[in-house]
Amino acid sequence: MTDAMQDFSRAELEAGRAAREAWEARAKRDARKPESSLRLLWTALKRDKLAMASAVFLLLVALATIFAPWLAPYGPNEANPSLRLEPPLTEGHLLGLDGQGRDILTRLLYGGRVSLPIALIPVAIATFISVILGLIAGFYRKGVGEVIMRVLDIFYAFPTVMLAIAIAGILGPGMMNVMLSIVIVLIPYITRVVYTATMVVSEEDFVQAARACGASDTRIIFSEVLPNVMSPVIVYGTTTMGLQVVFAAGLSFLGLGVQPPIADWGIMTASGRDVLSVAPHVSTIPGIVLLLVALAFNLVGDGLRDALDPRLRL
Amino acid sequence: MANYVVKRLLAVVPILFGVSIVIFLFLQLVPGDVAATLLGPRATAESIAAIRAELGLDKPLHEQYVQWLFAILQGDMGRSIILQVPVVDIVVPKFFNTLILAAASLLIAIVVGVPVGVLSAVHQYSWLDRIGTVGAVLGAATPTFWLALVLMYVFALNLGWFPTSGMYDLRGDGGLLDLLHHLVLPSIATAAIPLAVITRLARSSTLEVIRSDYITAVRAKGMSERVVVWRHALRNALPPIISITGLQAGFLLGGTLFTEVIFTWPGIGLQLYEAILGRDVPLVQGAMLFIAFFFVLLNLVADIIVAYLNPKLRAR
Repeated sequence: MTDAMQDFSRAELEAGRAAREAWEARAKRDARKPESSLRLLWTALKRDKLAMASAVFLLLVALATIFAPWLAPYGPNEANPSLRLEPPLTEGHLLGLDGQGRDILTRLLYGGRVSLPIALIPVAIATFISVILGLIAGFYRKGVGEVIMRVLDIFYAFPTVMLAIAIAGILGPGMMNVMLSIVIVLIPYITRVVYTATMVVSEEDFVQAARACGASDTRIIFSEVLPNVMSPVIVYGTTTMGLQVVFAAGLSFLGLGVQPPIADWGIMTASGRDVLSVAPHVSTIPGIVLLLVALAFNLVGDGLRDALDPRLRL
Repeated sequence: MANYVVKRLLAVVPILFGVSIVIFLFLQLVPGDVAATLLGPRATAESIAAIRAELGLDKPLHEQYVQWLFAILQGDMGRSIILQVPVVDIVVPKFFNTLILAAASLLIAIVVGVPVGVLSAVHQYSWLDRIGTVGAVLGAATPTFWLALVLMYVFALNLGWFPTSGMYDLRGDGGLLDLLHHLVLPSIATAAIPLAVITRLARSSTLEVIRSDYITAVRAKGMSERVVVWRHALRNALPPIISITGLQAGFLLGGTLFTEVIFTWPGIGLQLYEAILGRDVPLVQGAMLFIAFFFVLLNLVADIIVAYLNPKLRAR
């Protein structure tokens, strides 16, 4: 062996050792602070100012509605008939009064206590069911998975709005029926998101490794696959929340949701329909609130998606 | 290509079969005794018995389904309980009215959305891009029923430029101009969401294409920017746009419901809404079946067009 070659192999050894040390150091650091996909998502999201501002806005809206009884200047059904249909900026009534002389700001605050949960609870329930269905369908692609996906294909054949309205309408008006109809129309869409992600993840090496170690299917699905499919689900869920807030209000607007005198942003919009030409604020203000809330959910969803896959940031 | 079309057509059959089962089971969703609920509180025992017999409620469920399905296959969707006429006679003309509204909205969405999206991508970060992007984000979050009310307030009630409701003027000649006059506001309200979706996708799809090597090559050949963008870039950006347009076209069949209710446009959405309020289950079923059938058909056509434009997809 010539000197030159000896030097070369020594250098190679050195390089190899350095690489190993670096790897070990990183492994040690990673062991201290596990970089889960959710944490990465959060780190990237923090840099997105628009998404963060939207998230803060949503938090404020949620807090305002939760504390409505303390924040609202009046009772939700407290009427002052002498001031009915007075426009915004009327003294003591920042956003004006509705057709029965009730304070619109007050009713908006109370309305959020119906409009937000009526949309967000079904999204949470549908997500829970869809994650289980999607994991099973994506993991056992033949057999059970095939059956699940074919059945859900049927629900894709309906325009969502129409299906939900038909279900809610036939079941009869009421908060529970609205929520049930939203859960039913959402499940196929969220399940497909989970299904696609599960298919990809379950082909990964670490899943094969877990299987080689003798881990049971249940263990693989819940501790290996599940954490890695949550990000797309969270992105989809966030974006759809905005849509569902608007849609649930739409059902109330049509008279298929909660019933008056319960205040809800959809019912408030509907109540201004008859007085649209004389007092447009009664209908339009609740609609603007709906728009802002939906917009904020969309922006948070977009931010999450960009954080998840920077390649999509176009 | 023919293989692909046949394969897709065959895949539709089980879906439509499933759809028919779901819609059939709708009747079972009605709380309480179906016949009594359908007829309302003033129903007599005889009329309840009659409607039970008419709907076949006295037979086991699977027999009811088979009977119902065979009737449907022969074009018999039953009779509307409230209007007392065959469901087909109501659904078909109403569906045609909805198609007019949906087509007009889709036309607005495409004619505005595709050029704005493409130009936004070509001139990224320009003022057009900013306005287009903000508009698309806002449009996607806009409640249709709210937008419809705002448009009605501004352009119908205040400015008086357009009528507030209906399809034709009662005293008018019922001509095309009259129809278009009534169509403007509802179609704009309905177009907002598909417009936002299409603009956004046209932009991102073009952005992906515009930076590729072959576009640089076309530019290097000295082609004018117009040829580069509209002939070369658009062609490759188009398949996802067509896919999403197909989907949006389908959703419009349901999405027109809010505008139809607000502008009393005599479409299938308004009819479905009235049928739901009146618990007219045969009419609800007929309308849903009709809409689902066309929805599946539209998606199929969109898939086939996309496959035609992009041979890579056909192999799948």
